Amino acid sequence: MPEIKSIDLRGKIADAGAVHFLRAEWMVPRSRFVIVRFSLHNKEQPLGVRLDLDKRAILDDVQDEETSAAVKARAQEIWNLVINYRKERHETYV
Amino acid sequence: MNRLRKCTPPLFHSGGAHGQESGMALFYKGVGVGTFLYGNDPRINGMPPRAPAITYNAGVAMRHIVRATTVSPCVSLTRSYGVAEMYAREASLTFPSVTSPAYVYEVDIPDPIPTGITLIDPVREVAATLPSPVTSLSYFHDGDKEFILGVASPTLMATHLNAPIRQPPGSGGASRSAVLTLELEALVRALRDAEVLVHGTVPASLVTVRHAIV
Repeated sequence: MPEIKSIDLRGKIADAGAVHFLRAEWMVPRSRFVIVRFSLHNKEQPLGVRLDLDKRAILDDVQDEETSAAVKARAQEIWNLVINYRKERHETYV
Repeated sequence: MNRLRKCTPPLFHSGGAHGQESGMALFYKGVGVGTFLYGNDPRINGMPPRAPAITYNAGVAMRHIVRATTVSPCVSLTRSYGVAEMYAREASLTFPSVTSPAYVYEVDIPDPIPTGITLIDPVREVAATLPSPVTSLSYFHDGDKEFILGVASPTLMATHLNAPIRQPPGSGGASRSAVLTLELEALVRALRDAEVLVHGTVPASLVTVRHAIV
């Protein structure tokens, strides 16, 4: 089983309403998608949301429309953290 | 295990002129853990689109393929098991496990296609909208030949996507990356994923096999 790679998002990504961002995770090297873990009202949720790195977008909704929009607005910032992490480790092709 | 059965003419809108001989074509659908289709077994409930009320047109098909929207009147299928498995494994809301695996479903679609669904080949659909080459750039680009690699894999091959175009000596044009239209992006991504769209709900009777992906 491949190990889970994880980037700590706490303190790096601003909250979106009651959503507090925790980690970006992936298991497959160079995977196109990462799972963004978050807590809602201080309770970590069993399911995260998908960040599509190719589209630089979070695909899933959280709670209501306003919260979802706020979560999706964080996609580029999280993308930057993931890509910088991968670049430092030469996990991009070119 | 099911493999590709007799596959009569490539693809197809339903009700077309392909009904001279009958056959079955095998498609795949990757379903990640926690995603829209995950909780309702498509072998029992079929595969409905997220937004069946949206009116379909070629622009909707292109945005379905290219943009981040998951709200669409279409369902994506692929001719490639490998592509479906990638989506199932990587596009989950939590990591697949033995107790909660992701799935790849096999979808057997007969020819003629059943009434009530339309099977759309995105490449043909986009191509049908393209103007004359002298009218606009449409699906053409003006970058290097590696530019297509960047379109197909914009994260891993970002260098090719963002490379400044070469210009004739002395032209004095602004430095910029190549032109990328919605049409070109849709064509490349559809080809990359061997993607086919279904407009309407895929009937449960066509979903024949489920593979667990851990």
